[in-house]
Amino acid sequence: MRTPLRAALALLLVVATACGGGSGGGSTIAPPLDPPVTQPDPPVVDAGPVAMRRLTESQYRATVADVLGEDVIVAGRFEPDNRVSGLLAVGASNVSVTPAGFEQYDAIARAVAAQALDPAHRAALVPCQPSGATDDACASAFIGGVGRRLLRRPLADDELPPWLAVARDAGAELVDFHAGLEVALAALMLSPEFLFRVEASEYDPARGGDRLTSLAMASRLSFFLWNTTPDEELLAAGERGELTGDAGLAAQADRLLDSPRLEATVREFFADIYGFDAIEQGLVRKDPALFPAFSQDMIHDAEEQTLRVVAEHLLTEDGDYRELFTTRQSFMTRTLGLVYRVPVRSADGWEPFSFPADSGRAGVLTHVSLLALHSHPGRSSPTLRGKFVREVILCQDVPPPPGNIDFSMFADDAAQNRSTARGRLEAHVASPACAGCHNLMDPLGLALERMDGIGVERDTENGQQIDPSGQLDGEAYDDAPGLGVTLAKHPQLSPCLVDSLFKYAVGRDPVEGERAFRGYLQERFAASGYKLRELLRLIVLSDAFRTTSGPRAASGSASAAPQQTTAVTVQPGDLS
Amino acid sequence: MPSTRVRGSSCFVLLSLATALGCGSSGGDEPASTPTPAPSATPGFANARGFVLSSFGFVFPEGSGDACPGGFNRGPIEMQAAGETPLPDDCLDPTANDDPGFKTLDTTGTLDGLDIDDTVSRRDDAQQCAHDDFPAPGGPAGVDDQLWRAIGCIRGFQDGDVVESVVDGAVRDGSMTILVDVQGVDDPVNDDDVRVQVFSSRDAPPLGGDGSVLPHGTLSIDPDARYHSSVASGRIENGVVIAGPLDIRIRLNIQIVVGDLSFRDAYVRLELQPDGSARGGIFGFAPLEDVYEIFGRQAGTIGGKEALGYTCSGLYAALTSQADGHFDDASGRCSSLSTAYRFDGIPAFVAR
Repeated sequence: MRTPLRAALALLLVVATACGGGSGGGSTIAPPLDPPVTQPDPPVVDAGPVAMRRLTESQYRATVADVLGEDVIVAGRFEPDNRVSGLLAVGASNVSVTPAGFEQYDAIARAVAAQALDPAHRAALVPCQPSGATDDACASAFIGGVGRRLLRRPLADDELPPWLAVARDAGAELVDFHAGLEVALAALMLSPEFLFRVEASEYDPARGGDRLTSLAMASRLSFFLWNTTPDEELLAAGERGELTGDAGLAAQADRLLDSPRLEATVREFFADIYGFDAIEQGLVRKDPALFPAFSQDMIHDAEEQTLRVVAEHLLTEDGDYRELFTTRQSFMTRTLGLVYRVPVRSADGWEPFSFPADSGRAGVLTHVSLLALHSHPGRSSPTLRGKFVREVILCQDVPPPPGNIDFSMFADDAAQNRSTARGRLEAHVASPACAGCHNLMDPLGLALERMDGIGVERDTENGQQIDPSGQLDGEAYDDAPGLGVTLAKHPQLSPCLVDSLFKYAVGRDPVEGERAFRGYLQERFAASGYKLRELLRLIVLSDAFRTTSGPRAASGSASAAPQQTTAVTVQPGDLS
Repeated sequence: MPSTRVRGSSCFVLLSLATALGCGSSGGDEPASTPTPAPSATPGFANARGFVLSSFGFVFPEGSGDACPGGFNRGPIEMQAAGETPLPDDCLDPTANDDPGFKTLDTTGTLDGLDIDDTVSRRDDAQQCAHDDFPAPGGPAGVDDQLWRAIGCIRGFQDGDVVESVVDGAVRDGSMTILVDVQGVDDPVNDDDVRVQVFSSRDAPPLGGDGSVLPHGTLSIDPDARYHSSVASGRIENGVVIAGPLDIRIRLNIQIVVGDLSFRDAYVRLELQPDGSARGGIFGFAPLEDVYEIFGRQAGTIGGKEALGYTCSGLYAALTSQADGHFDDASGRCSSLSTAYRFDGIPAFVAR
């Protein structure tokens, strides 16, 4: 039974290499900081290309839970994600599957299939009683149903027999009908069309140009708004062709936007832009001698705290995005209470918490998650913290440091009485080679210096009082909460979110033909009171979300191919 | 019955509690520095100083010299090593046998405790349960710690030996979590009206990556009200809290030794440190039978005699002979022993 799997691997690698792996293809990509063109009405969009997007780990897990059962355990190491243009969601369009990664997918799929078809679960998935170790009718019912959900489209008539043959041969060999289905299910989960989101397009006779097919829209909508595979209702709407029409699309979009499952995407998006994958991968480490309160449990709670605040503020409260940088409302666990040094009554779990007005904390920038993430293992880093604000929160580019830095100028900090980070960084600013970038980053990070390398509050460093005052692009502030207030008023704040969310939605950088639309989005987002749900709705109903210039060119190709694209189909019988 | 007067030893902060007690103000002693303010204004935690104990153990006398002539007491192993047949000894019935060679501590060394019975006494006094007090280091005589006189010649109870390490481990691993809560602190240096309670907790203290008890954790008091001490009034002088009397019951569950460490008419002393931590002690009368239940009946039957070096008959007889508190008319004997325990406290939020 290895033959179909090996064949699938071969095709997967070929397809993935051909369609992904590039760094953006030959498309014209507008830098994020290009000033948008303002538009009172939805502008004409000349949308960018589509590309195959590999399922992220969270999307894979959510899909398994939705299709095969919430209690099916997905255990294994996934291929590392790839951050491109600041987002893993964009990187997902630029990755393939390595042979080692495929082995992991293989192991995960086999383990998942074994659970899904064990006696405790099979009744929910197999809609019939088999007549023996082989039963084509019953196997067809299972493969057709599960395959449709996994591949996010109905199986064509000529697709079913090869999968059926896999189940039949395995069932006969193993003298066990369900063991045969297990092999077929594992093979389905190794299909490139499962592991990658393949977005098909078609000519739009009404508007001219290409649009995503109704089925492709079902997947794009679902993964963007719920971070998982389409549910039955959405998939059925896609099959009926309803998602290429305005009314059908709006109906499904509103259903998804009104669902509690929208939180999954909001969490995923903010975890992506904030770089929380480093926490998930255990890459945030601190010196235990200097920071004994740091632990992996603590930093995971810190990540969850920030995501809870984001979801609560932006979805539950339908709050103003800008207030994320000023809100004192939060959540707390006892593990986190050790670092924030506050009492937490709940012995097990979360409880709402409001930082006192004089606490020195307000907004997500003062959360332990971001403070610890953007620090060194042994100390805080105003530079890293400032770089994060500039690049991620304001979408401004900070050039990498020059290669010819004379580090000897920083070697005698103690001798020169540079007790605080401000004093040490003044040495950087004194160097013309360093000053340009450090002047951009350091003042923002210095505002957060009253919170150490894991976010514990402090007033002094090496016995010297810490001065958290500074200015952001000409606007002065006194401390960290003041930075949050200043940031909330910064003209680049909400445009940055708009651009990042749009990139997240389409899995690529915006193209020139979408520039006017970005301006429109920014205006409408502001007009809505900076409500995230409204921004999401604007995006999914837009032509930029629904249309495409065609498939993205493979790496090294001069331009995207303009012709109609069709879904890749993988048939085990063709591969053996 | 012990009186209500208490006299401190090391700090000269004997405070008037219900009546005019102790040495009062030190008259010119200056606090080392102002203790770190309480960090929370959260309702229920405002004006409170909570601590979770990171170490707990006996106060050891200083300058004891040869307080146990001929060495420590002998348990079954020491007897076997000397070629002797171990004495018959039944920890479940400690009066059934005798250990005539069992030694109690006979020392003139000083001890950093409190005079909890308000009497400077000697064993040949005519009063009931007369005993020899310890002098305090650099301070007055009258410090009571008859428990240590009873067990002070047992090897396993010595400084750095088995019991200390086991108990220190127990207060850190959740086997015997102890909370001390000081409420009503308006001024952490001098405050004439605070209230102190001691609680058990079923939460383990939070530990850092280096194994230390982390500050500023939140720990819930034991849901069983028996493990909430009575509320003691007290005061702070020069950064030192002293409060009492109060009855304390501490839950312990160390391996298979399960029981309560009880104190009657106890006083709590806390020296608040500039970093927010505290050093302190609990000084009170431990019921004889409770002490024997833990150290003898339970520990003795699971290898404690061998590990620590004693016989249950000798231990019980020593506890009985040294008892100095709570005279029992029916038996004509004192039923409790004065004790002196020291502790280190890490700042914590005590969730009631």
